[in-house]
Amino acid sequence: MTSRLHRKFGPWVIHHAFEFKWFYLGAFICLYVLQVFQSEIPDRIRKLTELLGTNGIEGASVWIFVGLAVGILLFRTSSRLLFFYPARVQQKLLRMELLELLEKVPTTRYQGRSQGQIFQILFDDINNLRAFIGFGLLQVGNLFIAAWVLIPKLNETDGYLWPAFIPLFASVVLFTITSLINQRYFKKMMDKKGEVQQYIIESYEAKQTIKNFHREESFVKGFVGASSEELALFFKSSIGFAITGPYVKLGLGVSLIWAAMLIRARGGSTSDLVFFSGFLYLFLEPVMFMSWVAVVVSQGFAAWKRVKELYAVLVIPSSDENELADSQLTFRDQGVCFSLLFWGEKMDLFFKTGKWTVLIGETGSGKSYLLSKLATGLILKGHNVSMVQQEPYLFNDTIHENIFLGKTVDASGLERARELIKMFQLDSLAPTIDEVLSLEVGENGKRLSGGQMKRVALIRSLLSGAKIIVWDDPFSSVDIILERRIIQSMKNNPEWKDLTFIISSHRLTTVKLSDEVIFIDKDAGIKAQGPSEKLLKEENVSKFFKEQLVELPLA
Amino acid sequence: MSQSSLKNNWWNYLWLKSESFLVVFILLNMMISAVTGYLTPRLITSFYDSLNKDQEFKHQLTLLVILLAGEYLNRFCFSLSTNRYVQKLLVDIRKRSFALWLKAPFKRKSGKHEEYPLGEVLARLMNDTDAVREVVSSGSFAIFIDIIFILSCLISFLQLNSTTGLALFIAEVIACLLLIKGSKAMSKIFMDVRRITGMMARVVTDITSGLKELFYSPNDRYASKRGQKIFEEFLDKQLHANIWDAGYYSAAESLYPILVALVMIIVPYSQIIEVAILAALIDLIQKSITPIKDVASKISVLARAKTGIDRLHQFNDSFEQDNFERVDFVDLEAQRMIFDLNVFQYDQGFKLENIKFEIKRGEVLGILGESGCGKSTLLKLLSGQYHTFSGTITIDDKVIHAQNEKELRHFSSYVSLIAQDSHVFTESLIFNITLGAESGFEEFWGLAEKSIPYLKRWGVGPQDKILPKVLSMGQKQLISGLRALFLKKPIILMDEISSGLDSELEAALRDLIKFFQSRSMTIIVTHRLETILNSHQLLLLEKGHIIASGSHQIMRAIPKYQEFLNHLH
Repeated sequence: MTSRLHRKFGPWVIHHAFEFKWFYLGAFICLYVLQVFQSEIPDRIRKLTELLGTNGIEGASVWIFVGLAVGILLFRTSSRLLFFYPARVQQKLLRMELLELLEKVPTTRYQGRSQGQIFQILFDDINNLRAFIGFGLLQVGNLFIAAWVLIPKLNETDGYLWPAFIPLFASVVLFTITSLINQRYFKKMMDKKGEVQQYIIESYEAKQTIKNFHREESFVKGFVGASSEELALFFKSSIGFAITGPYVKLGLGVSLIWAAMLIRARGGSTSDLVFFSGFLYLFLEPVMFMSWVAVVVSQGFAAWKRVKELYAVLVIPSSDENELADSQLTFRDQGVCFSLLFWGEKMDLFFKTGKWTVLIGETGSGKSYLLSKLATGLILKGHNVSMVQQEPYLFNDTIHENIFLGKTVDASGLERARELIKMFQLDSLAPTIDEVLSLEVGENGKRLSGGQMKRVALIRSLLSGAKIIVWDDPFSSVDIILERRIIQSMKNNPEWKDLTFIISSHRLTTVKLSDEVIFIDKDAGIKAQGPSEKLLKEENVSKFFKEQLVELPLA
Repeated sequence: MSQSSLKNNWWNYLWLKSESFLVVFILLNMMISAVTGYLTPRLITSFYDSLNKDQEFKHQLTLLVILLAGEYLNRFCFSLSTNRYVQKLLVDIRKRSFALWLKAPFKRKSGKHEEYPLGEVLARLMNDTDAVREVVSSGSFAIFIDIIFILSCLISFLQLNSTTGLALFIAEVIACLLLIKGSKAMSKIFMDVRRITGMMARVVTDITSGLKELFYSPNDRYASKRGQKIFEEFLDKQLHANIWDAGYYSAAESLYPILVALVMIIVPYSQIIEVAILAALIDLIQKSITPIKDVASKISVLARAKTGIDRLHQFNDSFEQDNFERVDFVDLEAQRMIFDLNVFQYDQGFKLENIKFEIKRGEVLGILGESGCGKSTLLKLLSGQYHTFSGTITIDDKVIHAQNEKELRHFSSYVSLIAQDSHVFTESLIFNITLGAESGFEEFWGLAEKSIPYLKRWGVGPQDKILPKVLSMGQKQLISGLRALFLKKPIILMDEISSGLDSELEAALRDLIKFFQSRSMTIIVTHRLETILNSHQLLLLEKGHIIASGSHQIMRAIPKYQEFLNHLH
């Protein structure tokens, strides 16, 4: 697929124009014919008034005007469609390119941006770009062609009337300047809008997860505050238009008066003034749109800047990535040794291929951080890794799609999914397993419990084809009985027994079931590393577990 | 939603009592515009007429300049005041919809599907109000004053030359009606576009939320595939709408030659002999073409605004019709609850049956079970989220029938749920606990620090900003627990104390439970026995049934319970 986003604004527009050159060629031909048709009208009206002054207008042909009307309808419609189509397609292509890029690169590259911001770029900003090429280019073309057709036409007979256009042009220029000045409000408004959206997003989360909280009033107050600020900016931006908007009508009137004076000085007739007013009218449309074009262009430009800001972040490796790229990965003793920086210290983690390694340590010692660093590092170095985070995300889609994520599935893959659903006790979600697979999980998996969501994510990871599986606290919402069943069947099943599992846990049971243990500490780094049977006998490890299971009244 | 109620509601949305002064001012502007409109054709005729007369021309010129200036001022005032009005109106509409949505319980279509997921809420509150706002930013309000102006012009011209005046009047009215009819047909198409836009917003929200997940899960372009599908659908609908759009505006554009042709047919029968009157007629056509054309473009803006308001109305209405009652949370007292569930079933799926227990203030009830035993479902029922089960809940002496939605909602205000995923805001700790109503916090915090020593050692003060991303699950649970405590609910539900806890936090959460216990009924649902060993009462749940209940001592004899016990070591 051709890349568009790497270009600068101008080259991107040019590239687009060439990409759809036949559309634009057709569009310009339509615009030309349209203007030729329209430019016929003032002169024919002048003749009409002249006829009235002499013989009466019975002799004039009505059909010419009807013909002009049909021509205008036809060519105007076609020219619009020929401009809109490429813009809409371009919009889709831009969205796709950005989305594919977002999907491909490590998330660390855009960590600093909220989901709301990314949404805004993908949704609103690219829409502004569409408006720019669809509407902006159309009006620029229209103005250009109108000038091309109309100026010689007026010069032919009434060139002395040009000064009378000054008030109209002046008013339009003023209007355009105001529109451009208003852009600073637009930018501020978009930022505020983002804030209001973020407010709604947080309120939604709150509503969803804090049941019966009865503090809605304070949220409403906060929302109204943010939304009022946004709308106040919106009003401020409208003041300029209120002043200059009607100014165009005024300019039109003054132009007419000016022309009347010029015609008087030349000893011209009322018909000449009628002709002039017809011409003025023809200029009005393309000239008036100029001010909107200015708005659309500057909005488009601002949108491009924002899209490019994101793009720039996406294509350059982040510092975290660079650090991981420098870390070492060595293969020895049927395993992998991964050397990386942890809390600023170098740390060597060793994983045996085809074994279960469990990471233990106090809360806050950075197990999740270490695991995601490890997974990211392995992925960046080209390994086939699947990681399930502590709180995995499920898409608003079926369980089937959430497990296979767009992959085409063969019968045996489906069979394995069915088995796993049974093993992970998700079969109770619906009467049959096929119905479980086609179950829609709702937004962010809302229709499932936290534990069920996690288990779907675990199944996803087992079926992902990854050779290294990283699970952050996989069994926190699974009871001990099920946990043992899962680990044991993974170890015995030929399908999965060769996979390398790297997991974190707080449970003694998990450690007992695993092959290797790494005990980490925020200050001391790796406190212990080795086979679990051996380590469990060591004092500091067993002490750790005793502390974990406080207040056991059983003797 | 009947048509008439919708119309009544239009007033509800567009009439803002507090700004009635502005409305009066706007009406005054419209009246002034009627007067200038009436004068315009007369002055134009005289002006054209005086083109070759010396003294007269200067006089007419002065009058015309005054008229132009007056109209300018009037329009300036009109647009400023309408803009102000819309600003106030939008603040009000958004506030109303937001409050209604926030306060209403989650709506589920056919009991399961969420009617308004996040993307949809965003689309309603933001995009649909934006549609109203667009009326201002596109200057569409001017259409009203324009129409009044043109109508007065036409009436005035009728007196100058009734035949042509009437013909033009009729032709323009027909043109307007045709365009309005066309715009009505288009509003359906726009509704389609808006709908697909809303859907696209939902999909984009969903996939951008899950990008991290995709990076860590080998997949086949999942996000791109879903994006592509919705983008293509959107493109399709949008192009379809564009065809109508473009044809519609062009039809309006071709009016100019058509009206001139009409004049040519009529003039011979109209006794017009002065060129000035014909000139004024042509001037009038030119003046009226822009508003008529605008009717085309601006009605589509108004149509968008209308669909926006309709959608907002539908949104609000769905909450208003619920007519739910809320109980103020302060001073809710309860000493005893009896929960008695006969049966609950998800559409022919999982089933809960015969769950009955009693709990008194000061007691802790532990509900224990393996994954999939129905714990999460039971929690949802206990917090009043489903009204589709048969059974009763008795609080003190008051019997609540679970199938009565209103009663169940009343019940739900007694309950606070500390869920594993309770939201923590990127705000101060004090906001996270009080959610903005801070009175009584200091006293509460003093007590909390005494009861939960961890809070002092934690190093996060009430005013410190919380960054949810760096909190552990246990810390999040602690915060939402404190929140529930601060709200002083008589019934506290706790979902599964997270297993990922160090000893300090584990102790803190135990302190928290003790703190609850003294002032409420505490129900803890878990698969980890150690959390609830000290409960007054234990329920063992399996496949949606209670298979044993009683204190720890009694339960020791139950084999299934022993299994849990054995795993503790």
